[in-house]
Amino acid sequence: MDKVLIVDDDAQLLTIITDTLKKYRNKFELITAKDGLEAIKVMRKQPVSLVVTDLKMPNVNGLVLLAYMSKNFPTIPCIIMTGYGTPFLQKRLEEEALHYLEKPFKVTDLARSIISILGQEEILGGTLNGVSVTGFLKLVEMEHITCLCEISSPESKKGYLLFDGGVLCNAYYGNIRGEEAALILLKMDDVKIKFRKPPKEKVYRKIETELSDLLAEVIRAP
Amino acid sequence: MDTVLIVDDSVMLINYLKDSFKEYKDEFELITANDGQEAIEILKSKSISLLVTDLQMPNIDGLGLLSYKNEYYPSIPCIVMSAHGTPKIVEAIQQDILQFIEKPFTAEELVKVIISALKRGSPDGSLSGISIVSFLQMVEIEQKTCLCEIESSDTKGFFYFKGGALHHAVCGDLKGEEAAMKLIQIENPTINFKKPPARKIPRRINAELTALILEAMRLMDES
Repeated sequence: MDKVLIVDDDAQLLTIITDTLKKYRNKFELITAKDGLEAIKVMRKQPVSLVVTDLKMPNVNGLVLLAYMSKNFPTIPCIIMTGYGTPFLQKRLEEEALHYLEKPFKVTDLARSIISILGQEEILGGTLNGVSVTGFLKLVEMEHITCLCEISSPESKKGYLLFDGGVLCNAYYGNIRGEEAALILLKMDDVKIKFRKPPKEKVYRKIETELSDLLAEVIRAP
Repeated sequence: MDTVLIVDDSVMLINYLKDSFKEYKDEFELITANDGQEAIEILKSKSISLLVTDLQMPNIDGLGLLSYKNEYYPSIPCIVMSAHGTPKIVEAIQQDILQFIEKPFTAEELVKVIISALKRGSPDGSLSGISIVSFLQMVEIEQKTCLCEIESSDTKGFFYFKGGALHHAVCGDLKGEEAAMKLIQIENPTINFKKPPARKIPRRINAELTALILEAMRLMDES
């Protein structure tokens, strides 16, 4: 069963969340930690499907925890809850491809986010809503990730970008393949990105152009 | 029907309790407030059977609210929700008028305490309200810095606390421990919490609050 780790130094809030979410116990198991340090210990010991964390905490705070996760557990998705919501911070968090809940929030909203994220998650884990494709792909490249990214938007059909060790190898959009498909996908607005398990067969590189060059071309295009 | 007023500045806690207590709507009506000021307005306009309050809040905090309640509505029983533990000394009568529940708690745990308090109703002799002893201990567990003014028909004095430690007391001509002992023994005083003056107040009391209270209670028993 999926394990969801909730991190907050407010013991009463942890009790409110665990008590309210106990009706979902057939969907996911809750683990709690009172600070970032405890959270890291939990993640080292057992596989966690999703982390929900506060930012302001003693010992290891939420931002340090996120930095640790992006280095050591880059595919574990994360929901941030904070009482210090500023537009600037929110923008930064969205750029970093994170889900965001501002305190006070409805615990049922948290439940909805958890279930939606867990539902989208594949073996590789991770789903990033509301991020620019560009920012996200740079992350895939930087972290040398091998994955099949499913890209969807309200206006267009689904497409896929295939990465091997951070290198963009192929793209699929309807019947279109290769660089042409990649350019269509990179131009899409308001997209949703999901991590999928890459195909088992050997991946051939059908796109020779570097990702950064493709991105530059997208930016230049009207 | 009984009316329960719950006061806490945590919107998430209030929402959680409102939601969880829906199934008890036949047993009591729930009213909520986000701080002491709001709670006082409600106390003035409605008849309340039980007050449940946090101690740390903006505007008027829990101690301010309790001292107000003590003066104007002494017979309303109270439950204090505290994240910092509970007083060491709980007097027999105080168990009826003032109870503690330690955070974190579940709604289920709180509702048990509420229902048993409602069943008991206002205790006999509750006109005296919450005792000085209970107030002093709450100042201690909340680690507050404050001036606590005590006034009765014939005596007036104050306690000075710094970070929850009793540093000084004055009662008439008495100072320090002697003054503290005298003040603790006053029956039915009015209690007021004030911000301490900006000037430095010297520490004149080094004894533990608990020790002073026990000694004062012993003297009261003797007389």
